[in-house]
Amino acid sequence: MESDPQTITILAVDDSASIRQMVSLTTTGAGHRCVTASNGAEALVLAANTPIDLVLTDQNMPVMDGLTLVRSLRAMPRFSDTPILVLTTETGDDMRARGRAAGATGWLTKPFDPATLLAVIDRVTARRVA
Amino acid sequence: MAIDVARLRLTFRDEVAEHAQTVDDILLRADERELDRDQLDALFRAVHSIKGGCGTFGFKRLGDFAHVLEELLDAVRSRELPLDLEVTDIVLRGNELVRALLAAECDEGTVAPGDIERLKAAIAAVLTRRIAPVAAAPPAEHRWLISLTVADAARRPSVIESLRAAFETLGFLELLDPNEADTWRAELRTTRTDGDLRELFAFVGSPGDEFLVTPAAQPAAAFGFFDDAPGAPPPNPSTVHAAEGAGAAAEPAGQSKAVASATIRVGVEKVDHLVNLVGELVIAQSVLTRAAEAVTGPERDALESAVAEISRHTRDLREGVMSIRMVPLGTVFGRFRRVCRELEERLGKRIALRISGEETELDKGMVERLVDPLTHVLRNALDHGVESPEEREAAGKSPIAAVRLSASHQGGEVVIEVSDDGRGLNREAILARARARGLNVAENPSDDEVWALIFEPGFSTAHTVTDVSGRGVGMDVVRRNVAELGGRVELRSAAGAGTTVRIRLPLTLAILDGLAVLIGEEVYIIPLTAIVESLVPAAGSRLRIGGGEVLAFRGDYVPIVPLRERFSTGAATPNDEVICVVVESGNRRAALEVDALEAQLQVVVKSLEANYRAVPGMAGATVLGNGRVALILDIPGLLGTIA
Repeated sequence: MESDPQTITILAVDDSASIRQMVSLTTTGAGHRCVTASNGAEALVLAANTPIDLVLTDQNMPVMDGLTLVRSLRAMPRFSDTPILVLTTETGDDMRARGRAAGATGWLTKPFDPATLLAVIDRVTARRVA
Repeated sequence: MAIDVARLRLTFRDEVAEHAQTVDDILLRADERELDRDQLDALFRAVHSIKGGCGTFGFKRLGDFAHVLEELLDAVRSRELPLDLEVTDIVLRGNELVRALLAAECDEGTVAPGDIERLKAAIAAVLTRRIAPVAAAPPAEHRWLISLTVADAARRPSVIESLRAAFETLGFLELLDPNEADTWRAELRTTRTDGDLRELFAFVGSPGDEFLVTPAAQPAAAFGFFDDAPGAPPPNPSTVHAAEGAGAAAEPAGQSKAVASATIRVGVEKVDHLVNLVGELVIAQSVLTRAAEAVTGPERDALESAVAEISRHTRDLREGVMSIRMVPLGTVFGRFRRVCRELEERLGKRIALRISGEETELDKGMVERLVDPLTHVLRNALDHGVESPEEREAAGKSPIAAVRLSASHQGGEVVIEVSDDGRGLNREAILARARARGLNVAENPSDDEVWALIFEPGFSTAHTVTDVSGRGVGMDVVRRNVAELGGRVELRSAAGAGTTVRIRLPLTLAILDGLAVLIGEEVYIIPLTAIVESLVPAAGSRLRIGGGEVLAFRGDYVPIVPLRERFSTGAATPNDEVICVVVESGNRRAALEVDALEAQLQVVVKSLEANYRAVPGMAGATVLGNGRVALILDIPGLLGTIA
């Protein structure tokens, strides 16, 4: 499994259990692995010990917010080039601009449906396969 | 994509309930003027999360309203709007509406559109008080992402065609992913709501079709990558790119444990099922105990110790399972701070409310049913008990009244007290009122007898019906509510010094410790908590007074209740062979005359009302170890019937 480039490990960070569950069900249903964390601090602990191919993180979370997580991950050599998407519910470009400034790879608007999530993963795996 | 949507919605539902509780906890447990930045952020985050999930899980009405509430809390969080009593009140009402809408989304109730509109208007009104310039109104045009999967392939072209034609009349329709085989996706720019789109679809769709409407992001895409950002996939997928990350660390086994939550959510029905099973186990264990007693011979010792062990484990198991249903009373106590603050303003009184024992735990079902009676008792205390500041000063008291709300464990009971240092009950006013109402009033009644009049149906001494406590329910309803929970209400009062209302409740309604007694041929259960002492009356300790008998007991006389006569069970035995069980409830005592004491045991309470019908004097029924049914005596009810 580890060597199959089509199968990736996703780290989903959201304080909402239902969103985590949805990401987890969608991604594992498609054959990927998914680990979840309910805030940035938990995610950092997890990221330190687990190879991660894609990070999806919410912005508004207790303990540590998404942008702080993005900055912290980018400071880790292993995560210097890992795709990190921030989930945004905010309309307007402000949040995206802040995400970009923090080092995020892209954005994904909430609410999103499973198909959108899988499309994101396809893009990420396409890069790996290639 | 096989995703159990129902399960997700259930999880989300629990989550919304938790967020709503967070809002209540923050606003009700402290004075809103003292909330710090973190708490204001947490308030915003709670409502923000509710809104966030609504779109994903299709809770449209709730999402809409949460959005408006979020805007209000955003203004509060950014200090553009002070969190005063009015705003707090609106947020709390909004929170209630969130709960109601949640229930409505799950088909468990309805919410009148007028309620939503009224609250939205109230929010809009307070938002005009914002210090900072108000943001421009959002454009009336929506962008909807539509995704349609038709279950039946044969119907697919016609369904899509009719939907496309219909949607094109509503606004600007743009087809997405035209090559996708199974799902038809489009973006529609229109002034119509997503509810309108769903209604339209209902005309052409069939059960099994999947129709999704979600708000589109500003650009049609739902996600995107920044150019040249770290980790971004190349625009052209054929470009070779090295895999990121060293990937040196092997994936640790059981990694999910690292993020496993310390709590799990379990449906109440599952817990109740466990409680029932444990109840059955308690019964089976008592059968076993009884059977073991009949065994003689060398096996007896081993069996006895095994049975003793089983009963110990059963008891522990019972306590463990019961504790799952226990919640701290603090969850309801918090809201009384607000009740108090509101009444303070409305009544022009000054009150210092002290709450203690918030950590005391009680069965969840009971806690919920305590809210109404406790609210009523507290309102009574503030409205009738506590005097105006002027009146208090004239009486030489502090102008600020001390009101105490406390909870504690006492033996097998939870005791909740509401006390005030107000004017106390007015004996003469109560007596006059009772006579005017035609209630039965004893000659030279004791204080307790006078206070008991308050609990009579229809009694109210308030000279005017106030907005606060004059709601047509009185202490009789409080007493009845508490009695339904297996508890009782006691009241103490001293003129000029205050009133204390004490509510005593059993820890749980499901299992009780009882004394099995024989009355005639029948076994009855007396709750252990009510028993003061069991004794064989000494010669000469019984006196005949008037139509009945009394027993000299600890320097007092208590009425003897001949249960055999009362229940008409079997022939009378001579009086010197009977045993008296002295029981107590409130301040009343009585000696229940029984024929024999059988055993002390734990019984599983089965509701008579649910299984048969309510029987006066009986609190319920149980199944004994030998399979027979025994009735459980309702001691407060029995004592109430003794003149």
